Amino acid sequence: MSTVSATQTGSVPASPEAGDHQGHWGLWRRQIEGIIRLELRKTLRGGRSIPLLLLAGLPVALLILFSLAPLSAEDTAAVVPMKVFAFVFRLYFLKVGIFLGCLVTFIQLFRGDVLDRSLHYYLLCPVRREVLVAAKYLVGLVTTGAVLAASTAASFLILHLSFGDPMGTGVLISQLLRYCGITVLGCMGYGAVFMLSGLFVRNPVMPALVLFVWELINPFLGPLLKKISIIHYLISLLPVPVSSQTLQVLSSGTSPWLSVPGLLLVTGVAIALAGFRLRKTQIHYSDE
Amino acid sequence: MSAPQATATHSIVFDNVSRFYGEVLGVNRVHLVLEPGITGLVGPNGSGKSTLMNLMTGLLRPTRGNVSVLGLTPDQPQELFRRIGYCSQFDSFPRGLSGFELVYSFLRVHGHVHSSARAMADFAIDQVGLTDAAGRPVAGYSKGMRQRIKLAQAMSHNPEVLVLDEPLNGLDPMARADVIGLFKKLREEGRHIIVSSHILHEVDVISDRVVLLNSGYVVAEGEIQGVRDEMEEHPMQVLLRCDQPSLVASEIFREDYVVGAQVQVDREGVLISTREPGRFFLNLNRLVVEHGVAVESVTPADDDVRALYEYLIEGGGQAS
Repeated sequence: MSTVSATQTGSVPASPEAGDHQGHWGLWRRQIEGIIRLELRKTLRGGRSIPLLLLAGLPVALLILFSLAPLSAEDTAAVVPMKVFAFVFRLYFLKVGIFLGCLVTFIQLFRGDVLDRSLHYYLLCPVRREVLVAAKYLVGLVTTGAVLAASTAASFLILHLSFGDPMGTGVLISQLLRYCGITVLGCMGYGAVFMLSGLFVRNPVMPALVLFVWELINPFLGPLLKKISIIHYLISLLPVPVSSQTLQVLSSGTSPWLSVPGLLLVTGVAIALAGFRLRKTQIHYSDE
Repeated sequence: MSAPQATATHSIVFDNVSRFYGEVLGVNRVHLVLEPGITGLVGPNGSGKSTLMNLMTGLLRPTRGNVSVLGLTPDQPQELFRRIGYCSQFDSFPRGLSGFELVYSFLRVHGHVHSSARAMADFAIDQVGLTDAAGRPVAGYSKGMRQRIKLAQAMSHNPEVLVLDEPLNGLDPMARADVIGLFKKLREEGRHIIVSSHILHEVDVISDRVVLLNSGYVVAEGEIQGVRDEMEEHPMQVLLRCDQPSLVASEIFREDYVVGAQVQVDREGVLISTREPGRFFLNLNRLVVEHGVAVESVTPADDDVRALYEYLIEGGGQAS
C-alpha cells in the first residue's frame, strides 16, 4: 500500500437525500437506477443472459430456415402466416419460450446472488428492501420483455414478409402489437412468480417443474382450475384463437378486461410477498 | 432524552442476545454496550466473532434478545446502513466488476448521483492505496487487495460505525501498518470501529478495549490493559530442539524467571516455561554459545491463540 492519506475528517459527504426536493421518491428513483445499472452490467458480463438469448433466438432461426426452404408454389400458397404464427406463438412462446426465459432470468435475480455469495452487497446498502425487489424485478422485466418481444416481433415479421398476407397493414400491426403485449404480460406474471420462488426455495427446479406441468395441462383442466394459472389469461388475449388440443375442456374465455388486471394483480401480490420475504432474509451462505 | 436513551443513540447495544443455527450455538446471552473507539473482538475460529458482527449489521437476526446500533435496529436498513459500514468475511463480490465499479456501484445504490459517487469512490480507494489497481477486475485481485477494496467499500460512505471482520488478514506488513494507522485516525474522529481477529497481539496493538469470546460466550471484556496484565502472568512455553537437552534444562532451570524445564521423550529437545521471555531468550543465547550447544530449532510451543484463551478462560482471567 503506498499511502493511507488523511481520513474523511471534515469532508462528510451530504447524504443522498440532502437538497432533494423530491424526497423519498427522488432517492428511490436514484437507487433503482443504481441497481438497474449494476444488474445489467452483471447480466451482460456474467453470461447470465445467454440461456435467454438462446431461447429467443431459436424460433427466429427456425422460421428463417422455414422461409428459405424450397417449397412448391402450391405449398407456399397453403401457408397462411397468420395461422402459422398463432400456432407457433401458442406452442413455443407461451408454453416454452416465455416460461423458460423468465425462469432462467428471474430465478437468478436473488438466487443467483445467494449462489455467488454476493447478496450481502445489496443488503448492506441503505435501501428499502421493497425498492430492491422492485428494481431487480424491473431489470428482469426489461431484459426478458425486450428480448422475448423482439423475438416475437422478428418471428412474426419473418413469416409475414416471406409468405405475404392478404390482410391490411393496420391489422398486421395491431396483431403484432398484441402478440408483443402478451409476451410482456407473460414476462410480468411468470417473472414475479419465479422471482418470489427464488427467495423462498433453495432448489427452484421442482416448483418450476410443477408449474410447467400445471400450465401445460391447463387446457385439460376444469373451468375453475383453468383460472388458477397464468397461461389461461394469456391465451384468452390471443388475437387469433388456435385450438391445439383435441381433448381440451371447452370453457368460455376470460375477457381481456379481467385478464389484464388479473395478471397485474397476481404480479403485484408476488412482488409484495417478495419484498416481505427479503425483509426477513438473513445471510448465512454456508447453509446454501 | 433520558440517560439510557442517550447512551443507546451513541452506542452499540447487545441486550441478552442469543443466536442459534438450528441446534448449534452461535452466541449466547451476550450483554454488551460498545462505546466509540476501537473495540477488538477476539476469539478462536468458531468462537462467535462473525456471528456478533453479522447480528450488528442485520445480516443475521437474534434468536433471542435485541441489538441496536446508535439507537437503530436492523429493521430500519434505510437509516442503519447510512451510519454503518461493514467489511465482512465474505470474500465474494458481484461478478464482472472492477475495484472502482464495486465501490462506485455501492454508492449509486445508496442513492448518490454520479458525480458524488465517483468522488467518494475515488477518495475511499485512495485511502486504501488501491488507486492504481482500481480499474482492474476484482476477480483478479490478490487476497490482500480484495481485503483492501472491501475496506474501501465499507468506509466509502463515511459511516459513523465501521465493523471490520478480520480486516488485517492477507495484508503485507506495510499495508497492515498503514491500515492500523487509518483505524487510529478514524478513532480520533470519534467513530466506532469494531475489529475482529483471532490474533490477540494484533488487536492488542490497536484496540481501546477488547471482548474475548469463546464457544459463543463473552468470557472477558474491558480495557486492553487488564487483558494485557493477565497475559503477562501467563508463562510462555518454548520448545528447544538441540543436541544437549539435559544440559540446557539443568542450566536454564537455575534462573528465577524459568518455571519449568522438561526434557522431551526422544531426548532431542527440552520444553521450557518462562514468565519473562525477553530475559530468557537473552540468556539462552549466552548459554548456547558458552556450552557449544548445537540448536536445531527454537519454537514457541503455546503461541497459538487457543492456548492463550485456555489460560485466560480456564485460569479465570477477567479483564473487566
